[in-house]
Amino acid sequence: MGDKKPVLGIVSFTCDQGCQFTILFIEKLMDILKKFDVQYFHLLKEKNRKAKFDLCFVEGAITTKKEAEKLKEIRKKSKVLVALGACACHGGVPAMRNFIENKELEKYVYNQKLPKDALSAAGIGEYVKVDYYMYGCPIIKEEFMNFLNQFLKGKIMKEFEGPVCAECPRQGKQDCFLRQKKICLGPLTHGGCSAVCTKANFECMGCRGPRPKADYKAEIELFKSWGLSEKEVMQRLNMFKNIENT
Amino acid sequence: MPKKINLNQITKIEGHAKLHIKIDKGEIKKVNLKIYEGSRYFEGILKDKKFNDVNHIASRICGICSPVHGLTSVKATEKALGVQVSEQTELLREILNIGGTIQSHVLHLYFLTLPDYTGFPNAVQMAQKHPEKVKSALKIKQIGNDLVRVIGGRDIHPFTLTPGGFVRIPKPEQFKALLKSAKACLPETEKAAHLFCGLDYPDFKRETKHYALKAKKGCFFCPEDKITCTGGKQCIAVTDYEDYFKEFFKQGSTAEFAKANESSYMVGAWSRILNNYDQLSKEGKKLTSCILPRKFSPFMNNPAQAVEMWEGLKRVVDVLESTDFKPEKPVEIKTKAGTGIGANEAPRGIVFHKYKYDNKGYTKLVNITTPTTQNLQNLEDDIKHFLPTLLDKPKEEIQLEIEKLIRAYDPCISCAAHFLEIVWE
Repeated sequence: MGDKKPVLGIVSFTCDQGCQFTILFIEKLMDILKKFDVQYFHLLKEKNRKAKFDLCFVEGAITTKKEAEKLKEIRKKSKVLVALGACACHGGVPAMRNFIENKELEKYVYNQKLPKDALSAAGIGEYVKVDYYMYGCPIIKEEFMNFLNQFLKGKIMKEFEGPVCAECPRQGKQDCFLRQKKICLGPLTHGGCSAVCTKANFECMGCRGPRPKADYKAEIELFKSWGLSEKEVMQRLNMFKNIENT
Repeated sequence: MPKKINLNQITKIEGHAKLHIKIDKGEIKKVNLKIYEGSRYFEGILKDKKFNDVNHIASRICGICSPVHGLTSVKATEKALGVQVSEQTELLREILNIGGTIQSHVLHLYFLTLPDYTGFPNAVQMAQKHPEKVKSALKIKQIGNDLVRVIGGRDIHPFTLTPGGFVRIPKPEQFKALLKSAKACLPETEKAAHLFCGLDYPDFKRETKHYALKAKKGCFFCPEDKITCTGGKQCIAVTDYEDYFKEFFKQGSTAEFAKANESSYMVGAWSRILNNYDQLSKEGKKLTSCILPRKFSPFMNNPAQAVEMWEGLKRVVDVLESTDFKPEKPVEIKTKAGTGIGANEAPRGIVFHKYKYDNKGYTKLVNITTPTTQNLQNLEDDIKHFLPTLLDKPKEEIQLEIEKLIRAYDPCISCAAHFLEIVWE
């Protein structure tokens, strides 16, 4: 990369910007941002330019054609593109609306019409090539920092491979939530979060999105065999990602 | 004199907004605050969801004030299902909300606002010239994060909250560590109160109405189910909020605006200080002495936030010192049909969640009113009155002054965004 600082951008589409805030909450953020030429970060900066990025983080789901076009532009200008958080990775909470009829939605949100160019809410990978998926609602600070540090050394970090269970202290033990007949999505979900929720006595809700190889059918059958309704089970499974068709 | 001012992307605020201003022969023809945030249809997606999933979805309304959306959500659900939580739960929730308020305020004050007053385009550059200020901010940010993480499980989108209580209570040693860092950080918040008191705010005033939830006696951060009007008199019951505060859409904007009795009004830190002044601690009152004389200035929302950081942290220290938190399970919940309204003081002002449940515990109707929705009309009215005083200045300066005003409200645009078709000029 020579002596020039790599050009960095953080761009946001439809979401609550919780991932950008997670970044702003990083204690050593200023130290690492000094090593970049930050050209786009509208939450932090006054003058923002969609320059040619060496590294661009994209946050939020794509919900309209206009957003999809903008995203494609950003992809063209970015050497490395990272999907930042659940919404950008696989649609996240905004994608819950995909399960509701548009007419229903318009009725419940004050009889307003959907935009003419509205699309089903989706992750950015539906439209462009993504070089790294940074999962989570929100993302994990440490993963973001590690990614930047490795990037400065010219490397792209490898994604964590196992499920949430791989880091869960309850795995294989009596206090495993599945043994307690609780809807825990740990086995289905991308790990790398240090199992933060299950360690604090809360079942995994799947915010890091589904692992492609996971056995959904078996898991759904298991939940239903406990007497849980299909509706209850599917709502949990679809809170952060549409898995109905997976 | 400029004819047109277009702030096409207002930066250093949460979300996406723009401002169009038209001036003709020194007269202001148009002030139009446009919100072009993508809508997420929250009231739609929250419908027909199970009572113990609702707060986790609601938390995702906002990345910067997720704790309070979660808190208000469980409150509404508990009201609807007739659940009474323990005193310990109430205390933990109060601390969680204070933690979230500190997180939000410190970020807004030091990273989004302070660069405007110290002459830097952003906090990264400001950090190089004023390392001590940024260091102080980072310490306060740390305690805000710690409070939310220890009680809520993580910094953003706390997950330990559930209708009926908490899924886990932190261990005694965690509370002990929290108390130690909270105490150590108190002087930093006092510094912040003085710093934001002494900034050179624009000289602008306009009388408006202020609303805040009524604080319990001697407890600034404990809201009752009553709303106070300007001056602190109780005037409305929370259950009547929909009749009093009217939401409406504007052409070309995806956000809702709101009015009370046909007029714009303000909510937030400044309104809380003005309306609940009597419930501040003695020291807290002292810290407000430099801002109270400017009671018609919206810019005082900045120092008011700083005072709240101190008052909140002091309260946390007092609670942690005097309470022995014990392991406790959430109250067991039996589903039944019913409607409940939860109201809380979010960092930016009153937030309402109203849920109607069926007897199986699924939401049938959801209404959410966020603070920014309530503040937008007042902000637009302020801009209309502020602009004429600026017209002899160069365009760049007018822009900066207007942006200072917008940022003083600390607007959270994605919270306010619903959907209405966007008209692109």
